Amino acid sequence: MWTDAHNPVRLRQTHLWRELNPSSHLPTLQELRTRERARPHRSPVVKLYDDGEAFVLIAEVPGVPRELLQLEATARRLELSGSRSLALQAGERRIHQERSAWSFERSFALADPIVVDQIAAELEDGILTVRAPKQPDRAARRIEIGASAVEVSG
Amino acid sequence: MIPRTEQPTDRVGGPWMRPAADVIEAEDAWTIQVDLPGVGPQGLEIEVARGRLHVVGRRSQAEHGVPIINGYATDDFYRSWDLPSGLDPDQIEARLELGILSVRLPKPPAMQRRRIAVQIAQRVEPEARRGPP
Repeated sequence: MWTDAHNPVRLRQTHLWRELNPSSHLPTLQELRTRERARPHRSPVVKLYDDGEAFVLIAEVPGVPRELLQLEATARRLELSGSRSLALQAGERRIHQERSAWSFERSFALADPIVVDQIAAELEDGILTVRAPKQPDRAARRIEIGASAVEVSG
Repeated sequence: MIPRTEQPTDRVGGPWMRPAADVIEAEDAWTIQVDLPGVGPQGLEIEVARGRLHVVGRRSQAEHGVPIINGYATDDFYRSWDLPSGLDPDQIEARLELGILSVRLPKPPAMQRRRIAVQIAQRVEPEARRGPP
């Protein structure tokens, strides 16, 4: 069981009851600190890897539907754009906000040329994974290091 | 079930992130929306304990070597909220969609907005109101 005495983020907690009654008080210092520490990203968090044979781009795009994501590629560049809205339904209102709507465009220059026709992209659980294979003559190759046949004799 | 350790996950001492969350109010419920990209149901624990809602978990991501650009390295996350008293934990519903967790907290009946019908008082005749001189 989780106990408050062991809760390391006790100081950062958000008091839902107070958030639910925003007009009843001014924000406390703790709440201001909470808002400050929340990290609303203005655009997706991105990781780009080079695994030797391909570039792998991983973008965190929660709430961005497939049809609002665009990926364009040239031999040396990947361009990702998209958007998400924080639409509310009728009768709803947002009483506490840390997340933000997005309209983003990011471009990644690649050190090696890629094969544009073989790029694979997949969206799952709000994560976009793009694998862009390098052109064959640019892929890193592991070179076996030969050992000279030296006989060790006693 | 949240691990019975001091840490929200078993990676003792490791960093964890505090995902961004919104609270949305409707007529009959509050909804907490949390950005949790890459988190599946198996990596997520939601628990109500001592009047607080705890959302804790970790996500597992495939490693692809050393990143050239590394936006974020933390895969453990934790957040919690105090719940209003009277809220029935059994009524809480959670679902994951497009990497967003939505936790729906139905309002307790005592806190729902209610329209009060105004009763019309019996009209008192002016003659009857006049008392004896």
